[in-house]
Amino acid sequence: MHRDWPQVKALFDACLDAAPAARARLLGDDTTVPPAVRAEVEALLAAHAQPAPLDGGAAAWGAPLFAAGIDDVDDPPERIGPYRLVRELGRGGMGVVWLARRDEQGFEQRVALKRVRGGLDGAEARARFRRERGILARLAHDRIARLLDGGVDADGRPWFALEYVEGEPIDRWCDARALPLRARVRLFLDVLDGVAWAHRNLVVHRDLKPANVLVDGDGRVKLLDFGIAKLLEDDDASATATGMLLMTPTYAAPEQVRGEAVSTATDVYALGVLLFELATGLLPYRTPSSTRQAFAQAVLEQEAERPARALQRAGVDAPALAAARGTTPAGLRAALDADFAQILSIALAKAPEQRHASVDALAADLRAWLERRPLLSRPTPRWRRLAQFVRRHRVGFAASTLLLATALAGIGATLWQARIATRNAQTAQAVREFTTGLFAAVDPDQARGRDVSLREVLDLGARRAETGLADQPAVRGALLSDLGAIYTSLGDDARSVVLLEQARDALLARPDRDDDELARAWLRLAEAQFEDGRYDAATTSADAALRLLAAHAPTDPLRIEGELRRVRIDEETDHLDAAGERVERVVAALRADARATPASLSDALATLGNLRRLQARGEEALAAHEEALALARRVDPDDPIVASRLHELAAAEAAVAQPQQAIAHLREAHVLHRRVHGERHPLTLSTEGELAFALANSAQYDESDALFERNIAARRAVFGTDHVEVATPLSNHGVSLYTRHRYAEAARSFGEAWRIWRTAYGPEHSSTRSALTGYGASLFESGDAATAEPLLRQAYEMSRRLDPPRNQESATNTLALLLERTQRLDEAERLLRANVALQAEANHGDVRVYPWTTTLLGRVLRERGDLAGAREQLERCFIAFDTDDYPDGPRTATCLVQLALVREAQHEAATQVRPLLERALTTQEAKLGRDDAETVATRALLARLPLAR
Amino acid sequence: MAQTDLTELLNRAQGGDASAREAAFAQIYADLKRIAAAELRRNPGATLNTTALVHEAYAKLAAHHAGALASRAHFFSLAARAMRQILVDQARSRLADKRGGREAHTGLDGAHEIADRRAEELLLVDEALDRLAEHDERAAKVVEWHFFGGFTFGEIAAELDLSERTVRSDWALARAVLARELGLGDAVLAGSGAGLRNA
Repeated sequence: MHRDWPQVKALFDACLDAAPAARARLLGDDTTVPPAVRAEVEALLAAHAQPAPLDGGAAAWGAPLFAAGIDDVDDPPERIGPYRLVRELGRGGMGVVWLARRDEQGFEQRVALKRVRGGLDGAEARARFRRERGILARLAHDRIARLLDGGVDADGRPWFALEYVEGEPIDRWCDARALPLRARVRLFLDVLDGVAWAHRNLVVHRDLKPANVLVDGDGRVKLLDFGIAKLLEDDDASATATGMLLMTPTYAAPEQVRGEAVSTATDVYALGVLLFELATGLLPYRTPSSTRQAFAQAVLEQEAERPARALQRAGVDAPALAAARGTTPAGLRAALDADFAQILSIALAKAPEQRHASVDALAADLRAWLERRPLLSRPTPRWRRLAQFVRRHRVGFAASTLLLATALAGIGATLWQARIATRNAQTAQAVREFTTGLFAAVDPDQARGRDVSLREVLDLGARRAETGLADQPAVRGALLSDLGAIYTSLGDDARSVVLLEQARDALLARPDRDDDELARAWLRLAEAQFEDGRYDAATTSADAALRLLAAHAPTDPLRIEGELRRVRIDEETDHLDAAGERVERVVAALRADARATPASLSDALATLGNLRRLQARGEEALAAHEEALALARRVDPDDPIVASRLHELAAAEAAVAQPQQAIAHLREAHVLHRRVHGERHPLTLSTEGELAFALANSAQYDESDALFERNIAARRAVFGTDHVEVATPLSNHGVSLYTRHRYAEAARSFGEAWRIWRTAYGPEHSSTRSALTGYGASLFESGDAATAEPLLRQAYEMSRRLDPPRNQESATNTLALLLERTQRLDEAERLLRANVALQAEANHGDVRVYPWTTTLLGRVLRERGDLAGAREQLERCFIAFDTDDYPDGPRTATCLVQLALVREAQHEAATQVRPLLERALTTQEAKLGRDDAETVATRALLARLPLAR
Repeated sequence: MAQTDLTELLNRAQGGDASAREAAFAQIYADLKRIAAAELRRNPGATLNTTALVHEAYAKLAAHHAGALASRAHFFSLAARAMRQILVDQARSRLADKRGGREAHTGLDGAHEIADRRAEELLLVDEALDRLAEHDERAAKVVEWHFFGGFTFGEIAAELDLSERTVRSDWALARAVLARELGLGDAVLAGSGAGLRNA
């Protein structure tokens, strides 16, 4: 309050009703009013101008304070029901508890009489109250304080008389006696005893907390208020409101916080919290604030912290907590071992069905822990934690993250199987330590705000698997095998091969060899080697797997996987006939076996379709892919595999030059992904990118450009700017821009893609190479031939080293283009001839697949004066362009113009020339623009055509 | 408990009897609280009306206590102070519950968060009012009577023998002081966008 209060008050008063101008005059300046006074008055006037909540009166303002009623117990009644009140025992949210007495036939009964705040409304609520009370009154067990009596007093407030227990809340009782952890757990088993008994009588406590678990002077546990929370529900509809009003949030299970159905699992959860608190003196969640909202949020969203780690929270007096448990902080942390943490993590699971199936199961685990036996409950699925972590942080994680999470789920299963198989405590321990350590790094707490990428976790896990577990070859082998498969799906084939070779060796070294596990490792190795382009090694690996699986039925899924892998290797090494025989055999076996799953047949047919596409047996390819798609739809129309099948079908359609069908199927896959996964899911984004590319290939540039831009932006947001997932659409968009002579933009797109891929995969990689080709070509077309030539030569050499024949087409063509335009026609012709021959062989002479190479060769031949040779090539690609389903694009126009020039040079009639040029000009004007150099040139050719005659 | 007649207590307090004043306060406090509690039981979740509560207490006084009341102002004063005390006690007990942690309520709709915040604000108002009283007792009294006691400016002006305009301007100033002390611009007024935009 200001020193010059009278002056402040007078000035405020004067200003209050004054008009703004008058007010300014009154407030004056430093010479008339002291600055401090003026500032004070101005601040008060500002405060005055705001609506203050004080205007409605104190009671209205304070209304939230009275939401749960008001205590008017300053003069308690002498009696409630037949009981005489002796003294107050305590009060809280629920109401007031008195010690009360009833004298009956010479003996005095002492009870804890609880009168509840707030009333029970309606006859129905009261009837229900009486009914429930009757059930509870029959709940007689040593460990449960009996409900003796109850009623509704004159004011309509319910009351209960409970067996009076002279005891202390269990947590304080334990602390007062500095009870060690194991003794606390033994005492806790008594609590479980009582709760289990009530559950068997179909009564759920609903509000278990230390205040309701008393221990008397003799160390006997008594549970209070069993089922009282339910008793107070008015009816089912208002169960949430009333239940939650009375519920203590600290011990409330997620389903209670959400107001969902309560079950015995709800008590298991509360017992988990209680056990956590007894063990550590702390609650299982680390909340930023102590508000109820924050706690409720934590209950819904946070995983319970590991008890040993909770002791390391900031502000926790670990020495005091440890002392209350008769030990040191280090001793307590050690006692809170992995098994103990696991028991708590199961009891505190968010989903009721993931918790211990019963209180007895929880007790059994605790007994096992006390006796240092392996636990009976399933091990905590750590991967599920990981999956939840990923869900919470989805944006910012890579597409591969999802693959990773899925694959890690597999690891969880592997470890679990290893545990079952060995039933060996030492193995179990090794596995547990491994997983715990592996996933510790994912734990947001331990990461201390650093953005730990799953890749880091994976790398950590792989290193640990490589160096550790030497005495557990079975576990080590299975684990390395799973990890290797993950690296393959991440595209790190070299790393994957290293891990899988170790996996294979570890599994081979086992005396009690598990052939299936070994075969799986061989197959995964084959896949990694295949992806790495090491086809011979891949063949050896796949054959090794198939030998191990020879005894299996021909339709055994693992064996099918092996056969199909072998087919793909044969395809890639151009052993198409062998591949065909094998895949036909697989399909026939699957068709003959009634037990074979439609999913397996769908896989096999997709592989067959792919082969037929490579064999240029387009109609058969389409049929196989269509059947594969239909089967996948039958299994589950919403499964992402359906979208994959749509993709494959689209590829087959594109191959037989049915771009519109391909686009339609990609659209359908896109819709499916969006519906199942959402707009920004990696699979959605992948399909979107393909659709954009397909549209670009079909010269539907407006839609394609928009889709590319959206796709690139979304991928940057989801994966991060430098992620490889961003490079693919950048590169594809680059192709589209390049085709339309937008070279500067194309160079930017390709350059960015090149940088990303080079960083991620290194320079010697086919993706890096393809972006380099585009970048060099765009630079060249922008006029920088000097920089472009070495880049394009590098790309050409690399492509010959790295790529299968079909993929060598573009690097060769771009280099040839540069040579052509710098007047080195000999070398250009040589390259293009070789390329046409290569593509003809690879595509079985189907010129529709490589018309651009043919066009370029035709042009170079024409420029060299070989009109006949040029004409042969250009007529061929003219037919190809003309008979496919694609609308005319800039390259079609090039072919048309070149053919027109050849025909003209061979003195054909203008009627053979003009339509070609007109058609080319139309296309060029539409796709390249009226001012593009090629458009202008074509227009000029047309203009001089009659003169040439 | 046999109660001394409230009118008599009030009259004795008016004459300067401090213990009578205490006893009268205790009776009014208990009466108001009972009235409020009964109202809330009848009508859970209802918003209490200060004026109605105090007037009901006064009506009860008039009905049950035959003797003439020497000063209505005295009753006003005690009733307003009792309302203030009831609210402050309720806020303290709420915050004590919260600190105690164990027995506290919970809720999903944020009602309890609001109540917690309101409890804290109420204690701030209480303290700010004490500070205001040191500088400007009359303005503080106007707040107590109007805000806590629910009396109209006219009633207050009449009882204190002031012009209504003076009472109103005292209220305006005190209200501005309290609003500012509470930092209402940030917290309590968060829902009233209009005021914030003008500030």
